[in-house]
Amino acid sequence: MSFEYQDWQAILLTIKLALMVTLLLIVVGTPLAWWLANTRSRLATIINIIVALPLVLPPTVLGFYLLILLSPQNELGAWLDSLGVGPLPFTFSGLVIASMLYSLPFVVQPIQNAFTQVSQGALEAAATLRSGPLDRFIYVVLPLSRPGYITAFVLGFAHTVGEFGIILMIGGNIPGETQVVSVRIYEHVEALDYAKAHLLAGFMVAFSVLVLFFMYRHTGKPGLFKGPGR
Amino acid sequence: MTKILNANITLERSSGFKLNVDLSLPNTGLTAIFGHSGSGKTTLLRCLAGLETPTSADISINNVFWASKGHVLPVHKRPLGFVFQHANLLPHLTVRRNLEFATKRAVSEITTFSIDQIIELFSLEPLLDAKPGSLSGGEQQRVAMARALLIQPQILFMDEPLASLDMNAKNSLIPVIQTIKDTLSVPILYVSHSVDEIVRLADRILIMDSGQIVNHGNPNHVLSDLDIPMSFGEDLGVVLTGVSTDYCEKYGLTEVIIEHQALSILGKAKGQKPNVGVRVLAQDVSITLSEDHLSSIQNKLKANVVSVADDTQFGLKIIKLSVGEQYILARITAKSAASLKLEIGLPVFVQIKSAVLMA
Repeated sequence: MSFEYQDWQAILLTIKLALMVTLLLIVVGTPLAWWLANTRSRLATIINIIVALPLVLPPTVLGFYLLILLSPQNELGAWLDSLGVGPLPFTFSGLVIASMLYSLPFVVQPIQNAFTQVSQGALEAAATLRSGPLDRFIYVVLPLSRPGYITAFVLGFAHTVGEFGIILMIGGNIPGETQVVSVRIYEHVEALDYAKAHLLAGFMVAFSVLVLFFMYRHTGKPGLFKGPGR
Repeated sequence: MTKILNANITLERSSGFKLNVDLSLPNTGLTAIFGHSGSGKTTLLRCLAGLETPTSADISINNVFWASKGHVLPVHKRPLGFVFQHANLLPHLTVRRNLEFATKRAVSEITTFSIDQIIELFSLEPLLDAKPGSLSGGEQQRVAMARALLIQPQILFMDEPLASLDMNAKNSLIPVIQTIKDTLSVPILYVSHSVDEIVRLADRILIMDSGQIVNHGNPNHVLSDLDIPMSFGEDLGVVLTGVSTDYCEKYGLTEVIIEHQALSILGKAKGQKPNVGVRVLAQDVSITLSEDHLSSIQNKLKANVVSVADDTQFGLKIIKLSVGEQYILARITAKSAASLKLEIGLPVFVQIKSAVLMA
């Protein structure tokens, strides 16, 4: 008994989706986390709530709103359509956007915590050593935030792999385009093909254990949102 | 180029604290900024360095403006070195990399201090590959001083650099600071609340109180000023400067000439230069009207009474006396002061029971 073609297709698609989403989130999340870690603006509370919202909200709710927002019948969807982005629901690009929203807190919060913990003394010392703001960010903040970035990457990746509800809402179940592992398992179960479901599900369990093992080894802390270890 | 530091700084905090400083100093030697905690000395230093944003500031050093109406140079563009109370080494870098962090960003093409010279001078060789976390507090501060110098600063700011260290580390770092100021000739602004550090290091003292400079000048004149709102307690006393002329092996005494009068002080001057400081505490000085030849106290100076003030403790008086151009303080009982009929201008002899040779 082994994976059939469509299983492999789902696994590869899942990895591609998770990698893309995590890397994009690290790029987008870094300035956002920096702003949140340093601002005293009242707006920060609101932004913090929005960033954390996917932690609380059922994925189907998020997926439902996205489906409506991005559909060509909606103004935003129509506008994106006119830009040539094409209708996003039921496409891989649509999945990437939805997953980015859904996994946002898992990437932004560890990075934000890491930034907050960078010692003010070290930054002041660097400034007196003729290191400008960008130079300080690259040579002091980033290296000291490394554990936070590792946590952000692992959590963002793993969480995207584990999505189900939001994908079903906005992506549907198109093999090779939007059918990820979790949806594929659901399909096997629906078809009462428990043997195939077992195989994929077992694969996911092994994957998750591996991810967590890797993370504990590197950050030395079991807490998900406790920020970087030392 | 005139080496001068000009600064006019005001700062108002929501807490009600106000800093209001207008100063002009020669940018040479070591200037100590001294005051109680909360007097604003650290705030002044941080405003000068640009680590804190004052309400208004005009700062120029060696005739180059660092801040002037509307235009403020950010910290990383000011040619300064800064040593903090805590070493603030970059924890992810080894000692060598911490030093290189500075050399890579140093001010000028002209290298006044090479990295090898500094490593040697500060004996950092055995520490180079260590991470800051594994060093002692004293070692970390030594690295921090070396790192600050490798930026080739025109002025070095030191904010209580010894305050969080133990006695041994303090004693081993004071000569390092003396080397920075004498051998390397880097001007230093040094914030401290320790009288001991200041009398050993300062060429000039600024006294701060409630955000203002209440006195500044040479250590002898500032430390003998009885009008400043400082209570030195047991540390009350002055530093006399003189020239060491002779060392007597038999008794272990150094002869120091102060204002044409000789003192014999226990110990040997460590420095090369003949100029030495002699620390004399007010409680070790007594006053006689006639020169008493038969006493265990060998050191006597001719002096004139300048002023008489009450000590903080009832029953004691502080007498300020002039010895040539310098001043000395004596703490005596009010009863003695009355029986000696001390009045301003009276010529007397001061007997110095003990004194410490510095540098």
